Amino acid sequence: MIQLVDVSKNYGTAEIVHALKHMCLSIDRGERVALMGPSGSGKSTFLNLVCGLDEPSTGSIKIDGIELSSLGDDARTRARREKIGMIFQTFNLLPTLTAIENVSLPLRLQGLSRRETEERAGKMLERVGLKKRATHRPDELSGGERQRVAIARALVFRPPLLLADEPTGNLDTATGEEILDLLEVLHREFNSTLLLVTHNEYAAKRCDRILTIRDGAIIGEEFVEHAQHGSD
Amino acid sequence: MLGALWFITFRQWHSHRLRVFLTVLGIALGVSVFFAIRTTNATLLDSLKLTVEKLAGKATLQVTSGESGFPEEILDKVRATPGVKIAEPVIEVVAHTQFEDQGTLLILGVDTASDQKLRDYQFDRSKTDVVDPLVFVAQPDSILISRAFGDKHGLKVGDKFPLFTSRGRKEFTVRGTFKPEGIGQVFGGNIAVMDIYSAQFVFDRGHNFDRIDVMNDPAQTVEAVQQRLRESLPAGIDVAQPETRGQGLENTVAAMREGMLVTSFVALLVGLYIIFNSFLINVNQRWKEIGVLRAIGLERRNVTLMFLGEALVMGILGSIVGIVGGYYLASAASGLMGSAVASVYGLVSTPERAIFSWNYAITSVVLGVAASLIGAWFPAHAAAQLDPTMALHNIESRKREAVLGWIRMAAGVLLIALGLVLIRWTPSTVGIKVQFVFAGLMLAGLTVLLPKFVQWTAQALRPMMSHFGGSEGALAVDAMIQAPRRSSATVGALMIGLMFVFSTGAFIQSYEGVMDRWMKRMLNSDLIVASSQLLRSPTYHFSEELGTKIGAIPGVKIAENVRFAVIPYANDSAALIAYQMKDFMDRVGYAVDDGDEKVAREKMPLGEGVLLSRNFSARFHVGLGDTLRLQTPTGPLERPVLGIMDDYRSEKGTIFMDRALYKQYWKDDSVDFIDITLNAGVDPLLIKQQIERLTANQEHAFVYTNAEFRGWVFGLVHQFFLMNNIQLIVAILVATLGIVNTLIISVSERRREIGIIRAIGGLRAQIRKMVLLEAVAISIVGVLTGAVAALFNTYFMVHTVGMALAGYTVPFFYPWLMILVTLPIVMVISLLAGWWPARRAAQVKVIEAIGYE
Amino acid sequence: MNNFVRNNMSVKRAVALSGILLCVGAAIPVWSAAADARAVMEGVYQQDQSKDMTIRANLEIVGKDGTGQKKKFVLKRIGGLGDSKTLLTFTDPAEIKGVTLLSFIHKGDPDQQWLYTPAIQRVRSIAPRERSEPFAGSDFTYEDIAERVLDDFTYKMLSDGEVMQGHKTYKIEATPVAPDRSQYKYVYFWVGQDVPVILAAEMYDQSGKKVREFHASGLKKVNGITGARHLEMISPLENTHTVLTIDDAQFNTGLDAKLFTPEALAESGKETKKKPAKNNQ
Repeated sequence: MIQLVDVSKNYGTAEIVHALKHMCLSIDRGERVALMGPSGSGKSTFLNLVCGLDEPSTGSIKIDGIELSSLGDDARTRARREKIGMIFQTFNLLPTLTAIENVSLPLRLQGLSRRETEERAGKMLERVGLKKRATHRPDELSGGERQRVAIARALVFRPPLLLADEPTGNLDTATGEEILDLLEVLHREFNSTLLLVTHNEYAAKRCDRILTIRDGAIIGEEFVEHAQHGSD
Repeated sequence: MLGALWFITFRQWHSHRLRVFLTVLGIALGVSVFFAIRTTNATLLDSLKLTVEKLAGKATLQVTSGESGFPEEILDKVRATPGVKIAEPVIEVVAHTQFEDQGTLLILGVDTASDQKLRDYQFDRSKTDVVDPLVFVAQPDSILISRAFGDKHGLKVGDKFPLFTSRGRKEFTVRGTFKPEGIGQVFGGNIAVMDIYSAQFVFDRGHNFDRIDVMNDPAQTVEAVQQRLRESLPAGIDVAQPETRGQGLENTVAAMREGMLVTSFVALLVGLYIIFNSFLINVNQRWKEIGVLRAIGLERRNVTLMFLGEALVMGILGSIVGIVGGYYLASAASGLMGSAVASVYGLVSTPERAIFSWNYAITSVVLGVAASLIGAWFPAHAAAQLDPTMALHNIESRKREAVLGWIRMAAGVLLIALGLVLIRWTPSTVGIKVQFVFAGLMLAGLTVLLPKFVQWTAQALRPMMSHFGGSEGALAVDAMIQAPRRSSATVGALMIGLMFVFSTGAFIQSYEGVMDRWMKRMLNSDLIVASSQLLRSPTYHFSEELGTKIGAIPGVKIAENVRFAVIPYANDSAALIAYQMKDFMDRVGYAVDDGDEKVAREKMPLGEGVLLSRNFSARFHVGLGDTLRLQTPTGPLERPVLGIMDDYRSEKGTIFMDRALYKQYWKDDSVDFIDITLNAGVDPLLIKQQIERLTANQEHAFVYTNAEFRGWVFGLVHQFFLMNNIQLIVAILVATLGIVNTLIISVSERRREIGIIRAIGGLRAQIRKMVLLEAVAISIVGVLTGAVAALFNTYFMVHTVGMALAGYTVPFFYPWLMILVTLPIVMVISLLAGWWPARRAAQVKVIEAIGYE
Repeated sequence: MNNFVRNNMSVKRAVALSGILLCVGAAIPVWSAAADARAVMEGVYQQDQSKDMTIRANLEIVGKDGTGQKKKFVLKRIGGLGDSKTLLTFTDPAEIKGVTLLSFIHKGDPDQQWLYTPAIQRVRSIAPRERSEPFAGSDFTYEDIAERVLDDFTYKMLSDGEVMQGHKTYKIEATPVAPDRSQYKYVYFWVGQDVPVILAAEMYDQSGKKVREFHASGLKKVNGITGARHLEMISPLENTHTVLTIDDAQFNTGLDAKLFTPEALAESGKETKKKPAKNNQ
């Protein structure tokens, strides 16, 4: 599903910062992978490259068989909106839109009709348990609810890849747990690949594989055995 | 402390050059239009005055009697008055040349023998250019021309060239030239001098003079001599100092000037909105910075000071740029206005370059800085009130703006209502300035309601925008609904600008409607022969002979000689129209609008009464049955007012009298218009051709069919309302600048949102579309608010301004069509204005925008 | 001042020509060898005691480049020194034919003058002129041709002058009593010892420069009045000169005083034009 071959990312011109150093990685379809590391370890750079928001300095990145590094901005954006759902620590909902409007936005951006998008967004909201809050705006929702909306938005177009960037970072433990539960359920249901960037070891443990990153390189890899359900 | 703040501010300027540029531009625009209009006005008046003064030479007093002139016997009386050292008679004629440029020539008829005591002609000295002075006076075709005019048309001494005179087209012989200095500069050098008696003869002025220029004995005061002259001359004759006479011209162009004054304040007001908007951007862009500053312990007061200090510097900068720009604008506009004044009022002036007045410059800087400070005050205050924790917090937490409390809403409605009530029921005697305050109340009310209005209209627009513009459309309008105040300033600027455009347009259209009905009623002759392409020419007239000749053409039933003059009345001036009353009343089919029809029909042709236009009656408080007292060159004239007419010929008011009565008292038999009625079944075009053949190369005459004449009058009306075009340009400039401004703030404020949309799959093209649609939405809301404001302002215009400036009201008229036409224009302009912000939005770097804090 | 205006305004005072003719005509006074300068000048001014006069004259103005302008006129005068009426009618060239000047001179009052122009059939009154203005575009100024007022100058006998045209002369220096009485700082006159006529003169301006030079010749005696028939004024600074030739002079022919009114002036136009005259005088 995700294949990185010898990917480097450098910033700056005078004094070059090597954010990622010759990274190689392969993640299979349906796999749940957690990426852990301290601040400045290169997690964000990695995430930006994978979702096509940024281009690598060298190397190749393939998502679902598509070579991202060879694409232009528009093509990468299209790839992103068809293949990648994103969840952020700060939710990043549009404050002017209601929950259902936020959820339907990706579909509308793809050019689907209003009726179809609303129907699918409604179902998705129902799926995350927020049917009653559909017409509320983000500032009227709690943190957990906001993240549910964000998850609904990320999955509404059934992307094969779900990227979650510290999804529980802004939430209390109980709510965080709920969100992780929801992600797990939905992962199973949608059969998507999940890449979870987190500080939270508990969250990481719920994945199939944990990668540790430091100074732009993967320094550790650990496979987690789950009692109830293993990887597909 | 403040030093550090300055450092921060200047860093801000550096990194937000565009915003600084737009703010300074906004101030500069407002100031430049204000300054330009003031300067144009001043230049025009200065040019009018300068023309009067240059033509006056060393004269300390001028004896005049409106435009009609006075009998030349007055000269002996003036010369016999003790304290008069020199008294020289003058006739001024603007004659039409037959050169390619169809230009005009100002001919000064003077007693060339003695006139040089008053005026310095700077004649060319070379012997060969001197023609025998005896020949000059002996031959009435003798003319002296300025060298500028001679050079322009290749004329030398001894050459002949044609001019249109009251006695037809005549050849004149150049007998000498004078240098382009002193009087040679007047009227752009298109000036010539003739012997006054020859001028009387060829321009059919009888034995009248237009003016006597007097130099007093230096041993006596000007005022004493003035007083003595006033006592010894008939009351219809005015004795004034040239400077005062120049000032008197201000009165003449008052209506146009006041209109321009309003435009200049509109420009400033609109500038205020732009400044407000710019500082909103400023505060918004520095939201986080302010939060940090507040968090590290900066007092609220200093936050305010920081922004106000910035406003001060920008205000000064913008004002200076505005003055420079305004000066050049004024230079360009002065010529335009000069020709408009010449067309409408027949006043001769040739502004060469705009005069620079420090007075206006300082006023403009003060107003520009004041507007900047006022515009910056609310955003600065808001910045100071900012809760530092909020400022540093995430975007979802930022509360929606509290749009408008009920108190404010009620205040807005109340202000509008108050303004309307005051406009409706306050007597016009309070004066136009106070009435403008009433209009200001309405405007203030509208401004208070603006955010709410923006929200409502945006909400109403949302389904439509969503339908036509998809999710981008909806997102675009959402921005306006959620943050109505952000777009309010731009919408407000659009509102004010468009309101004036719409309501002036409405006023003009209503006025034209009235004019049309009036002309159909009163100007119903089949053909009209006019002596000028201008509304009227104060100096060039026909002789009665032409009327007689035209009357003799087969098919012509009657040719009426009409004199249209402007006479002094009650420290102002009024139009006087002398008809052959019987013919006139027969032709229009009625005698009076108010008054006894029978009495008027009986007495008017006998010269036993006068008719007044309704606006004359209103302006000078002379009504039906009163006695009108006029001062004529031959003494006082008193006649009862026999009727009131609806007449829109002059904004000063019009007096109607029989031609014979006019001739008797003014000793003036010249003709300005010939109204021709044809026998039934005669083709007007055929007769028109015949008259044109009759006058070809003989008279400078313009023959119009009834329809053509009406079209021509409308052309003049448009020229009078030239300021409306200026308003339109200002409105468009403001629309552009305001929209660019607002969109930039919108883009910068929504950088994160744009980043999110991009992150979840929004294409660059979609972002561009969103921003452009927001521009369209703002323009639609702007036009709508302008249309609403125009509703109130049009009422003010037709009800109050018309009355104050011209003494008549016109029916209320709402310019639907104009608004409908404006909408797509403003939409296209806003799309153009939105292009650059849209590009910027599309280039937002997603990673930075959604930022990982 | 430029030539045009100068010339033009000078026309109006053309009538003052009578002055110059007074200068050149003289009754025979009693002369003494060591004559008093003032008495000599008085003799010049007072020799003409005629009741009326009619002359026909030519005026030729010669410019720097040698081109000349010629004008012919008839001048009629009634009355004498200090109380006269004059009618000057131009007869040639055609452009100015019929232009007539009427002037009343009465001691103590300002002069009154009217001009009639036949093309527009108008009589106009004319304001008095400055002394230094040239007459009819010529080298004569109004002061040169006006009636001289004896008391405006003080006179000093300098010496016996040269013999001019067979006449012995006195050279007399005249100095204005006040600067406002004359444009000149001083004037030298050469007056015939046996004829009361100024035969030559030199005029000096305020800076002491010689601005004009006058010569009279062709003396002729009619009705007991001696006058020059050829008068020349030279402007050495401008290199121009003017010659006035008197073809014919008659005295005491009994001119009708009724002709010397503005009304009659207008009427004369009526007669020549056979059209109603437009005038308001």
